[in-house]
Amino acid sequence: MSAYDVYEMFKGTIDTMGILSISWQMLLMWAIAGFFMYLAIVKNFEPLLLLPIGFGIFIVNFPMVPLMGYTQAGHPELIRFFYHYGLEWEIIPCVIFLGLGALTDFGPLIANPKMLLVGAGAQLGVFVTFTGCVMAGFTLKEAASVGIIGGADGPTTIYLTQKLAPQLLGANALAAYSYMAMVPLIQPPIMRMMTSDAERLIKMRQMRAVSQTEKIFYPLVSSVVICLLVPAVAPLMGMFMLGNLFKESGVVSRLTETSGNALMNIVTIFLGVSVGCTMHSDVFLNPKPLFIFSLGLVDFAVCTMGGIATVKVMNLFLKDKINPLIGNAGVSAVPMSARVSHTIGQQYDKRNYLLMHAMGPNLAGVMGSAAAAGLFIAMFGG
Amino acid sequence: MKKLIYMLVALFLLSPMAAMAEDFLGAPLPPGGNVVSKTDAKMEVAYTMTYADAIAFYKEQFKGSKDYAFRDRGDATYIEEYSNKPWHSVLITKTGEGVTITASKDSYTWIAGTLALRFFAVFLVLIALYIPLQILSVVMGKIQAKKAAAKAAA
Repeated sequence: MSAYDVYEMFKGTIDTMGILSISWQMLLMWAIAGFFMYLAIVKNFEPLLLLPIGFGIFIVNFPMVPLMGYTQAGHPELIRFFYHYGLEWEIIPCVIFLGLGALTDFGPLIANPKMLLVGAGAQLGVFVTFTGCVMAGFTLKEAASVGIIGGADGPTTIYLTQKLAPQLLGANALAAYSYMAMVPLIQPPIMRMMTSDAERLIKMRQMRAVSQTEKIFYPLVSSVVICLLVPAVAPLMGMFMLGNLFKESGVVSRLTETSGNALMNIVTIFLGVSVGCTMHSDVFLNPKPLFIFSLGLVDFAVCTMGGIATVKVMNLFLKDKINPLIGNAGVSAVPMSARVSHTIGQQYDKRNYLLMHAMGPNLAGVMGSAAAAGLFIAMFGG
Repeated sequence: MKKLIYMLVALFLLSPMAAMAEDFLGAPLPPGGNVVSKTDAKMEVAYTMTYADAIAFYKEQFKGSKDYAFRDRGDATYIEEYSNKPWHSVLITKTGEGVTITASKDSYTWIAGTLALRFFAVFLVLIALYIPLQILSVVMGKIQAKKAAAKAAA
């Protein structure tokens, strides 16, 4: 064996290593990934999603890693497999909604169905942000996918983005989950600014008891309305209602348990890693994702204002006034924004228990954001 | 030689018209039409081509792109553009002699209008859910009241 052969052997070995191909862009993405993992682990911000997303960002930003491409035989590599069958086929968001339905109690909404209007009003930011995005040069489909971030509903954001603007999936999902975790920081100043002292002290009447029969009928009634009026989101909302029916029927505890725990945990792992792995430096390091992050904040803020404003308008016509502090809960970061309503209310009156009242608009916001998503899909003939 | 010169001059004079007929803010228009009207907001061009040929022209123009939607309106086809170009839509309408193609400018009025409509539609969807829930609540309330009364009587 000659020296040249030995040299070729070493060179060949080194060429299969990625160490010589690291770029500054990848290092920057490691820092970004580290930031989101820090938020998840240290600050406990939506760790179930931000941790796998953060790690996905980290692991995909290495040179020559066979994760998001195709093998020489044409088969999808590991994460590409999860991404293709889970996200491109839109299975994962629907299965997550199955689990969420199995964990959700719609009692507070059934007891006070007029909170549905608050959930609708809290979608204001979705449409305002859409306009802002169009003015900033986004295409209409991209603008719709960014706007839905304000609905504060991760699976809906992912579902709509994958349909309309899959190139923005990583940025939109990251913005949605980050701001959902920051709801306790974003909403209180807006709530204080938009409410008077007298309004904050409004005590609401105790909600009536909701029978099990009503809770069983609710998913069926919701499915009829959604499938007839917004059929585009039938896969998403249908699974949500199926999960809820599992829970409320009380006769399929194994299915309820699996949907709400094991199954949801499994798809959450695949979702987080797949979304994170879409954020290669080539895709992420351009002005659009940064702009999406700043617009996401505006989106959440305007949605909060929309919810509170809706309550104030409703109060003009209602004898039993609604405390406008629960208007923020129309932003469907369940149950975080409802807890924010309760916490702020308690600051002004320790005997004012707003949590269960706020759950009504919180759950209505889920319906509202799904309706908004469905209307966007219909707008583009998707 | 003179004929050649006259032909060249005529072609030179006619070419801006042909260019105008084919260009409105970059919206693709088939060649050979007669401009019926043109404003800042839209341009209407009449063609002798068949409706099917016009549709085929645009399907070829937009092949492979996801930023367009074709909407069939019976005697017309409405093509919407979503990639934020200066023009927003092309409407192909059947006429007695052929087709009329109307290209319209993109406008914030359309965007704001359609968004306001959809925001309002979110309310309508949730009101549509509110009504049966309210009816269910009233019905269940009456059933529970009857049961309570029957229990009390017993």
